[in-house]
Amino acid sequence: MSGFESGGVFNGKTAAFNTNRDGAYPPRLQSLADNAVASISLREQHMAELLSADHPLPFVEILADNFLAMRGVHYQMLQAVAERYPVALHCVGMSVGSEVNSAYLMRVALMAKELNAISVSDHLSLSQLPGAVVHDLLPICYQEPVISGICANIKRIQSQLEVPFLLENVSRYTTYRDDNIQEGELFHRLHDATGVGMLLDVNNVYVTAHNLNLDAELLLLSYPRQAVCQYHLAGHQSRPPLLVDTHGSHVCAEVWELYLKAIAHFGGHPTIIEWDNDIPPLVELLTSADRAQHLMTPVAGVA
Amino acid sequence: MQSEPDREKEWIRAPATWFSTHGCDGFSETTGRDSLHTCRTEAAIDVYRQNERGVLIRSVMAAYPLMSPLLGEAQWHTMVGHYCEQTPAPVLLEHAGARLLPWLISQTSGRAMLADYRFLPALIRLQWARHCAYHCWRMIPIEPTSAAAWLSSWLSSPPTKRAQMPPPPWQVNSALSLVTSRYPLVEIVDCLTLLSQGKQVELDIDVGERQTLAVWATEVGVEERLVTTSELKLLAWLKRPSNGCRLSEAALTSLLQPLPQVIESGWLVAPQADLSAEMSVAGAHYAI
Repeated sequence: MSGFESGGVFNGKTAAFNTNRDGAYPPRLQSLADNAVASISLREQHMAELLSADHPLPFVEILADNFLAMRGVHYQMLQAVAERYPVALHCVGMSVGSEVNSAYLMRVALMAKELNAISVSDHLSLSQLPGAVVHDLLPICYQEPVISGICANIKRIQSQLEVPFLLENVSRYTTYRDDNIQEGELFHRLHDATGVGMLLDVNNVYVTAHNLNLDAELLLLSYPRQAVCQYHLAGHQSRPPLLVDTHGSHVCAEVWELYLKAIAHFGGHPTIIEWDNDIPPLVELLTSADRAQHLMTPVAGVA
Repeated sequence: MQSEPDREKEWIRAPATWFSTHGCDGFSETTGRDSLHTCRTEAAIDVYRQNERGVLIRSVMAAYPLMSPLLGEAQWHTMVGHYCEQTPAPVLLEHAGARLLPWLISQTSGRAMLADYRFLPALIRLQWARHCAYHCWRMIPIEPTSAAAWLSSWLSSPPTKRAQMPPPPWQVNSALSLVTSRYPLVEIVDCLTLLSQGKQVELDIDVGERQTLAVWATEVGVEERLVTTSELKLLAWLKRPSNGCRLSEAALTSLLQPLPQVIESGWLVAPQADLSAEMSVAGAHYAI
């Protein structure tokens, strides 16, 4: 039985939720984190097919940035999806590592409210630079002085949202010479200071570990256990000497293995299959989600 | 010694920019071998550059879907690549491509292309209008009662008092664009659409009478239709009623005749004041 059917957080969509403005760990975040269910990040080309069939998905992830106009046929379809499935909103434009755009945040908060989203997530990265914007998930500086600014941004985001905000680890290709904090420690510090949850992207862990010459398992285990409450799984591409996070292929065997280690250590949590380039038929994504569910169910002890 | 704000700026950095000022020395060695460090760092910077460039190119190409069937995929891709290199990235990805036409006019090769395809400026404006309308933030519909009351008050006021009246309770739909051309835009669009579907079509493009096409955002999508001359005049007045203070009653009556169609079409909306609307791509009123 899935978390949705068994009366977990997903059928409590209308329940009141206490935000974590006071830094306390939000009760709903805990219950969300406890749902050992797998699903997909839904792309626009699959929406009609999903709505025309009866896929018993426990929830779906939506890339909020694709719907920021919040009108038009595609948004109406999204509203129909949200009537049927609980929705987790995922974003790429918060720029938590530099300056959060107020208008962007306001729209995401409004969308989360309208769709009755269960969570909103974005990345520990930056895209807003002084006087310029780079439309990419750029790495932050892993240094002590940046932490207070990131915490302030997280608290600002949390104060605008009525649902938990989760922060995802990005794929990294290099590190600055003056970096002096490890990523795991940084997530610990951010979680301790703000209560922010973590969306652990297992593929990004694998890619980062390869690119920075780290042990993937040690990197994985360095993240705060109590913060992890969702997983991402995706494909990457080998471009020697690096691995590149392309979201354009199947989850590879090594990442599935790392995912098993993740659920053994952090527990079963909502898991999302992401695919953004060369998007395959819906059934392929659902098959990957089934595989994640199959791996997670015995570990999480859910029948 | 650096001041604190300067140091803060340094912490907010892009790898590619940092690389251009610090080279490989600005990045950690992960391999312990100098040659490998250089190779890996350069490869990493290349990934960031490709990501940045790739997303902009995809966005511009998506905003102009009829360019590929007109110019061919390879030429269009190359052109967009040059455009993205030479124009700053916009804050919002959906604004990528906003400067395509002026950029094209500024290029020698672009001017040659415009000479070959004389309808191209209008076609670019039309595609951008559709793109803007698609991405436009939702608008609050006009409130008919208050609009009618304002109009009635305006009409019954002496011309000398009209300029002092409060602003009207409407604004022209910010995602309403008017694209004007002497070329048969509708037929050109239909032809290119068929070409993009792999169908064989031919089109005779003759200069005809100037036509104006309106493209605008509705609650459920994007609409477009040809605009009449009287609607154009009315739209111009609706944007700035104070410009018509001295119009005679007969002229005003004539001017307001198409108002029901204009309201019905959704070309007028309630004034927008909320912050979230600031993100919208503003429509360009080329013909007003």
